[in-house]
Amino acid sequence: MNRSSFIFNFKLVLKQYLEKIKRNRFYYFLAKAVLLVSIVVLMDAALGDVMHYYYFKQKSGWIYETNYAVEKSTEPLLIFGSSTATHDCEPKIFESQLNIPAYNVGKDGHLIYYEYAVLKAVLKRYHPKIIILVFDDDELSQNQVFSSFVATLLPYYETHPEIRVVMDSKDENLKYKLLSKTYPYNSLIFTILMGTTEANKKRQVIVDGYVPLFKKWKEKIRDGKLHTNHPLDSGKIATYKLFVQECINSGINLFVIAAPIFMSPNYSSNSVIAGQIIAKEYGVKFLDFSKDTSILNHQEFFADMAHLNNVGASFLSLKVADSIKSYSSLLTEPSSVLITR
Amino acid sequence: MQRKIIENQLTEIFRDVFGDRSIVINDGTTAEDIGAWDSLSHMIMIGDVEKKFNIKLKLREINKLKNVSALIDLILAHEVQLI
Amino acid sequence: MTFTSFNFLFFFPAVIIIFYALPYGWRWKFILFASYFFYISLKPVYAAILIGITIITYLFPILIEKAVSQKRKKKILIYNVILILLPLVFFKYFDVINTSLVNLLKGLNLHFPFPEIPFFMPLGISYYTFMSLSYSIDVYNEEIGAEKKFGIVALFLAFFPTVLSGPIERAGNMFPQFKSTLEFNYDKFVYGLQLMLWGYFMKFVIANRIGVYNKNIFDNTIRHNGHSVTVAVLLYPIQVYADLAGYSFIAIGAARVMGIDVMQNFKRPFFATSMSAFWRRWHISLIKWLTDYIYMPLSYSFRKYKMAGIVTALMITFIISGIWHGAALTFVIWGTLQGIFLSVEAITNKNKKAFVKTYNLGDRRWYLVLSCLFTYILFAFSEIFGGAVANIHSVLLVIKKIFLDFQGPVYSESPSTTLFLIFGISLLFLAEIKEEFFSGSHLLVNSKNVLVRHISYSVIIMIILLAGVFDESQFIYFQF
Repeated sequence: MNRSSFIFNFKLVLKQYLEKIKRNRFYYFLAKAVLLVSIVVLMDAALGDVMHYYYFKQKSGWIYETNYAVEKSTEPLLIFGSSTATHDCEPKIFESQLNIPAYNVGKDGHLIYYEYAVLKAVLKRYHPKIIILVFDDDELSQNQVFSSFVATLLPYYETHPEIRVVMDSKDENLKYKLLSKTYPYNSLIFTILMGTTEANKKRQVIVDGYVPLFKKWKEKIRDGKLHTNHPLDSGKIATYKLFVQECINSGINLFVIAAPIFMSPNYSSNSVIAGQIIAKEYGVKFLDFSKDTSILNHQEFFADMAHLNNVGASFLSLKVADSIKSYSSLLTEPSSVLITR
Repeated sequence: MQRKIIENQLTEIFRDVFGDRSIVINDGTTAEDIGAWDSLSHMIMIGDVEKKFNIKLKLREINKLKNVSALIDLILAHEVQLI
Repeated sequence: MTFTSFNFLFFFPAVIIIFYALPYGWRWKFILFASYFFYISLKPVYAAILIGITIITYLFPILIEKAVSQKRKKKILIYNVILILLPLVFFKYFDVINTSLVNLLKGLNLHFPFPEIPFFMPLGISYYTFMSLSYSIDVYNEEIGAEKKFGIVALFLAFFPTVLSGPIERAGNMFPQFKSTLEFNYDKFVYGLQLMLWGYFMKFVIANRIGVYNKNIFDNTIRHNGHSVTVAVLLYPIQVYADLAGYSFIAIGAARVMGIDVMQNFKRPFFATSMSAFWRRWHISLIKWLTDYIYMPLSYSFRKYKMAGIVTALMITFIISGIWHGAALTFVIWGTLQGIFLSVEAITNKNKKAFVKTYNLGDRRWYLVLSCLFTYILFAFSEIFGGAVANIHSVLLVIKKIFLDFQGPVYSESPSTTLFLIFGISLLFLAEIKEEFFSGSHLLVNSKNVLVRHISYSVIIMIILLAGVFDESQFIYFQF
């Protein structure tokens, strides 16, 4: 049998087969469904690849900062936390005061789960010397208004097994959802497009992860009694303990600080109280600035009720740096050692 | 013949209730054909029909009306009862 | 499980494959099984209530049919209606009744708090209660016969596409379909899937996206300026439309895939040029229900009062509709507003027509556009009371902000979010304009070319993946 007759026969067989399929409308539909699924899979893979490429090519902005925290940071001093970290702590001041490079890996609206996941990713690469964890007044509470860290870290699910564990514990269906290659970049297309332009850098000032705010808070101090003190979340508490334990295990000097909040001192956040007790249990330093009058007496330090402006941030950063210095047995080591570590 | 008379009387009622002097109806006319004939004006029209022919229609009968022809049938049936 | 839960992605194809693999006689029984599986997955207790209602819905119409005298029929119907309404009233209004009773007793200096019942509202109860009522009343009116097969009645109420949020179907339409052979019909099947896809697009890409923005504004109204609140109020009808109509499209589509036709629930409401036209296009199955079982009997009883009777019937109907939507003062105001809008239109209808005719406005495009806009704004305003915000205090705050606070720019979380909003809403309106005015022309999804068709489907799926909001907490974060 020569080759051409084989092809001929093959065509015939295929034709007969197709006709057989066409006779049964349901199978006919299934055949078409296979076509549709193939197109979707192809498109999904292609689009996912393009998004992946541009996601990891970002040079500035929200995505770049996430990527820096997870994959690029090298600084021996890292600041973790939510918006209270990004707006209240200035790495440049820590750098000049403690003489070691510092970076702010905090993220707006992201609490302890995200911080823990990023810590795991960092520890996989290197062990920082000092970590400052900035505590939000809702850090460990059952507050729904904060973002899902899972969504933010989806692009790292496949390549970062250490993060995957944390994410899977929050959503057991993730491995099925991520059969789609585009899904990790859900809702990011415009952010990615803008991030590839030069103009993006001018949209927001970000200095080593620090996002200064320049406005001044005008409203009078809030009565703490009126503020909702959310109940604690056991999952978040457990994760906080893990965070502390990981730092201890890796020989990191951890400083947990409660961020200032412009509210009368009759308010004591459940989260801050729990954070303090747990820190004590583990022998970790917990510095509470939430009621510090040297800050609360200066309304001009605040950009809004929960965040400091650039003046306040410099002031707080100096204060924190001073405290760290006073604790530091570690600073007896020459700073050069810290950097090369 | 009687149907024709009723149809003419209905035409007057329709023109008055639906506010359109140009309305012309026949056996097949339905609510779709007359823009202003909706569930609001429907009951006003029914009220006028009842008054004009001095009859009392049941809700169940009204609900089943499909077109003008059915309405005429209904009116005829009730008038017979009256006699 | 709901249509938007992840598990439905596996549940639905599995149901369809088994459905068509079974012999004809088994098919409706299998959907009944699947429907209960679907409903129980939400909360097993819910199913107990559904079964209770099903038993009543099965027995009473048979009794009504068997009763000899009209008087006795009526008596049975009244018992039936009361029994069916009890669970709805209990679950929906218990909280309100309880607190008002406690407050009343407090006023009389008595302290007797009723026991607090751990609250669970069986999902869909408002819908299947109405479906059940319509069946009994239809049997009473001799429009349909009472069904002897318990399974058919059970399927009517539990049918998984419609059980959670309608469309509110009628026994007269559903029973014969459930009893038919339910053969595979290629065109219905594909059309059903198309409807579902579009429904998901509306829900994820539009409703959820606007939802994130509006939740931000309405939950923290005090922190936002009047411009932002106005934008949120204007977006709200689109959010509700994309949500409810999207859900309806998925429901209608899912039923259609199984060869069952379920009535249309929305018909491009934003092209309505008056409130009465609007209510013929918005939540059609509910309005039809209210018209048939509340408005018509009322306006029939009041017919000798002419316009005054119509207005009274309208007001009562819409106030009941408001209370059906929710047990709160705001919903009563909402219903009253709709009643007023429609009454004013009914009363001025003739004058308006004459005016339009005199100035020949009927086919002026700008007049039609203005009418649509005016209707939209009226509806958007009424929706402030219709569920946009939580309670009467927030409603007042929203209204105060809209009319008194003109400081600062419109709130935008990020340029990206704004772009997604514009993108989704534009696509929606493009599709609606096409359907409304050029329904003859072909959509890409109906192209003759297999490849073009399938690529179009794929593009919609990709848009949902890229621009949909699946996890609202992903975005809910506010900076103040």
